Parts: sequence; structure tokens; C-alpha cells
Amino acid sequence: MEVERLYRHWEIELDWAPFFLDPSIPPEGRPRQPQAPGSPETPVEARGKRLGLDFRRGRTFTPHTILSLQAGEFARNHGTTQQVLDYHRALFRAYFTDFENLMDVDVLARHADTVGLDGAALRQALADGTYAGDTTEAIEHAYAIGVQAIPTFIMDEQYAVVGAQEYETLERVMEQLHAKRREVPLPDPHAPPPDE
Amino acid sequence: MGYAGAPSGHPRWEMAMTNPPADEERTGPLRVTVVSDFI
Repeated sequence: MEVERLYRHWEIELDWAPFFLDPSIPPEGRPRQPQAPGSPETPVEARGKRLGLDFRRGRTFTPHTILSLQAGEFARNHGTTQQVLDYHRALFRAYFTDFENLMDVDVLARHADTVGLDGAALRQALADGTYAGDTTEAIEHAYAIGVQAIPTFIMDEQYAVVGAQEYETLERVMEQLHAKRREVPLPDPHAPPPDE
Repeated sequence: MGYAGAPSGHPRWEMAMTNPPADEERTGPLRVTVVSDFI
């Protein structure tokens, strides 16, 4: 994803904030009409391509995301930056590619374990509602300040870049805001091993 | 780029109007908050 690449190449501190893209989704989730094969590419699919994710067609359900957003808060509180990046990528892939149900605690915990977070602790936090208040507060704040699209990148708590921008656009913003390029980029943990 | 009317005082993050930053030396890393959903 662009933000991962940005993190590897620029001296930035990454943080995450939750948002309800569609607040009309009921707590039990909502059936959806799958995208017809052969129909034109949607903006969401185009965004997926840019993120390196396969937004597969055929999903028939849209989950309510409060639990997954709370899981994201858990990751943010307990994981390294790379683990949070990995967890977000895992949940995107679970939903868009593998059609897993993000309302299922088993799914959220399994992916937490996969990226090195404590899935059992996540289960407990979700059961206890440990991050429910913070998550709801942050979502309400996002609405209050006018966030309408995702992703929205907020720079230095002052500047907003809206939408899945091209990487080059984000680099221009880095330059505009006087961020520093890392002298040595961080290694990409997902890069294929070099040829022997 | 930029939103107007951001309230202040939130403990984690906020947005404000786009004011071009002064051309000065940055002393710390740029903070980037990604607001997102999983769907």
C-alpha cells in the first residue's frame, strides 16, 4: 500500500483512526448485490488495484465494522507500526479477496495472530469492550471535522489528503511539509527474497 | 487538500484549514494519521 511505501522511505510517524464509510449499515450487517461480472471497474476496485489488493467480485454481504475497527484500535495500542500495517492489510484482504466476515471475532483474532499480535488478548478486549469508547469517540470526531472519504491522510494534525492518492502525490506532500527522506529506506518485510 | 472548521482539543488528531507551512527546518518526524474503514 502507498502508506507502507511512504513509511519505508520517509521519516514519518504513522497512526490510524477509525471511520464508518457507510453509517447506514445495520449492526447485523447487510446483504449486498454482488458486482456483475463484466461490468465496468468501480472506484473501489480501482482503489484496490492501486493498493495491490485483489478486490474480487461476488461479495454478497457488507459487515458492520465496529468490531474490526475496535480490533484496529487494539493493534494500534499493542503492535508495532509494521504489525498495524500488516493487520490492516490482512483485514482488507480477508474482506475484499477472501470474502471473510469481519464481524466474526474468530476472523479478527486469527489475523491478529498471523501478524504477531495476541489474538487471545484481542478476543478478550473485544468481549470486554476495552476499545469501544475510544473507537466510537474517534469515529464521531471524524464526522465532526468533515471526513467523508477513505482513506483520509492527516498530516501533522493540520493537513488532510483525501482519497487513495498516487504514491507520487503523497511524496509531493511530504516535500511540501518538509518531511525528511530516510537516508536508508526501511526494508520491505514482504519483498520476495533476492535471487541467490 | 484541506478541510475547514476543524474543532480543536481532540487528544489524538484534528484537521484544520490548509495553511502553507513556513519554509523552516523540521525538527521531528511528520505525523501521518490514516483515517480508514475496512470496507
